[in-house]
Amino acid sequence: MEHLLQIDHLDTTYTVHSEERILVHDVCLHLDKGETLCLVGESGSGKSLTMLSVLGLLKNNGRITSGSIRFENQELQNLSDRELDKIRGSKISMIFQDALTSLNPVFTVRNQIEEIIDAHLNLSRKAKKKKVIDLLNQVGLSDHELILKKYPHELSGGQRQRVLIAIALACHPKVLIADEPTTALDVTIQAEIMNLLDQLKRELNMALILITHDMGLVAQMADRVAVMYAGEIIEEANVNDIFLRPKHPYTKALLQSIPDIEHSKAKKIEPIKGRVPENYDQIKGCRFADRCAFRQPACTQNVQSLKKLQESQVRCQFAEQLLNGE
Amino acid sequence: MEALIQKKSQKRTHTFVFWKHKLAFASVILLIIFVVTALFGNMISPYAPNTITGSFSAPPSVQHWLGTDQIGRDVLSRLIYGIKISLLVGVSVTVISSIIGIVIGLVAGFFGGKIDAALMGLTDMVMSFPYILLVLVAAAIFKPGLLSIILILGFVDWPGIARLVRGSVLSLRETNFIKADQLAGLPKTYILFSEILPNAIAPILIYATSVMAYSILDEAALSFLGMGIQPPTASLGNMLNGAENLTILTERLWLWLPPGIVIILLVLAINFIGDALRDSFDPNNHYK
Repeated sequence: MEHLLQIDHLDTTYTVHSEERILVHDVCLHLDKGETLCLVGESGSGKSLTMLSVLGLLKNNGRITSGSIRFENQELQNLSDRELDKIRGSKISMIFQDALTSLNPVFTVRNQIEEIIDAHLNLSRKAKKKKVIDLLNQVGLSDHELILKKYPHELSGGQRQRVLIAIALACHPKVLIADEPTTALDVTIQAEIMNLLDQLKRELNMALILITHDMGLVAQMADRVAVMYAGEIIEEANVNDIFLRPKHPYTKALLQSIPDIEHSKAKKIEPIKGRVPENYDQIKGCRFADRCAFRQPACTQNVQSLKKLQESQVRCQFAEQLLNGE
Repeated sequence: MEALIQKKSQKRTHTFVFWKHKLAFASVILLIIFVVTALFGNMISPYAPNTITGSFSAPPSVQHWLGTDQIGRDVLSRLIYGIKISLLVGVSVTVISSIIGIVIGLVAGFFGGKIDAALMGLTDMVMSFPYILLVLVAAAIFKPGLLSIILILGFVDWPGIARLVRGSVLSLRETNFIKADQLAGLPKTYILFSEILPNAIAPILIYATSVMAYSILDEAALSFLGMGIQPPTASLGNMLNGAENLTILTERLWLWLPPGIVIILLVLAINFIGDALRDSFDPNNHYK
């Protein structure tokens, strides 16, 4: 079956101080209609960069050096900026983590919702007005007239995030990328926003890519999970496999490092020792080897690639032994 | 009801801070008087500015409130006409140089790289020329007159605005909302002029007031040196021309004091308005 979005062996290179650095390496992902994929990883592991590569929004010193990105069987890299503009915002939308800075401070909510409708849909004034009201209803904002007249700084954090979601949904996107949509919000609002996203995803039959490092959210929202470490995907599996049968040592360590409120006394939190390596693109073997509890001499010598193990994809040559032996 | 109150209070904040400046308030009134005088000059002025209506260099009298000049033209009428010319120069130069500066600054800041380097190189070049020399050379090459002085000053005054705009664009370009606009698939030119520019308009507006004040001064300086507005057309600058002469400077104050005072008042008023504008655009001032 063809996937809605398919990323194959993506490499994204940035030139920093005239030195080429491969910050995203060999990323393979796919996304089907109506599915939620969670992209998990520490800060700087390349989650957002992967998504920006997909949307063709890398900075001037960044470029995709190899791999392919196909959306609805169309290679996105072959498209011109203008053709990409037709896909961005209408078929693939994205919302950022910081809702205040994602809205233009000098325009009202109405202006900002209408401008994206103007850019992608050809609607009459009346239809546009109705569309705007519909969108506000969808994201759970009542008192339309008041909200529409407001400027971003007059809205609360939750309202801003809802407005952003309304803007992202304006053209019925097939894929919505949410880059840590709730980090700036408090826990109750966070729950509301996540429920809203989940509900909208079902209603509109969208695929959702959720970038986060909150494993709680992952458990709640995800169908499938991809774990990134140092620019590579090190494990990809459906959500049950990730939580119940993690296969990569990093995923295991990650899960052990999460405090658990129910078994807080029984379970000891194990932090992962060490730090994410700098210049990780220079490492030849496994990028996690330095911090790995199960390290073997072979780990640093052999190039690790994603291999299928049961239902999961794992980037660890000893994953199968770990699974059987231990 | 609550909405109504909120809306009112919002609209008031900018204006409120502005009017708290007493000097700005006085300046606005003064400027309005000048503008009205300039607009309705031919109705207000007692004589035509270029016709000889009395004896040479007559001191102020009932017929000629500010006296007459060396060839018997009414100084008050010429002054009123001169204000019109000066304001015209000030406004047109500001418009021309703002447009050039804004476009160059926006493009340089947004696209960056080689385009930025080339445009900023050009800006630095224009900036590093000795200003008055450049204007004098240009005035010598082109036929002096109202239009050429407007064009010359307009094409020389833009680097400041260009740098200012580029600076704001550089920081705005990295903000999330501009990234979000790109993500939303909005065209680049739309983002540049409809999203970035409105966010940078406050400093531009403030800077533009100083450009206006300077261009009025520059016009006066050029006309004083005989490279600006050519007689018999009156301008505040060439009315000062007579002050080169020591007898006039010491004995016939009515010939150069009025245009001098008007220039000072005009420039000060515009500067005070600029100051007040800056304060009212600064959000930190609003709730003091």
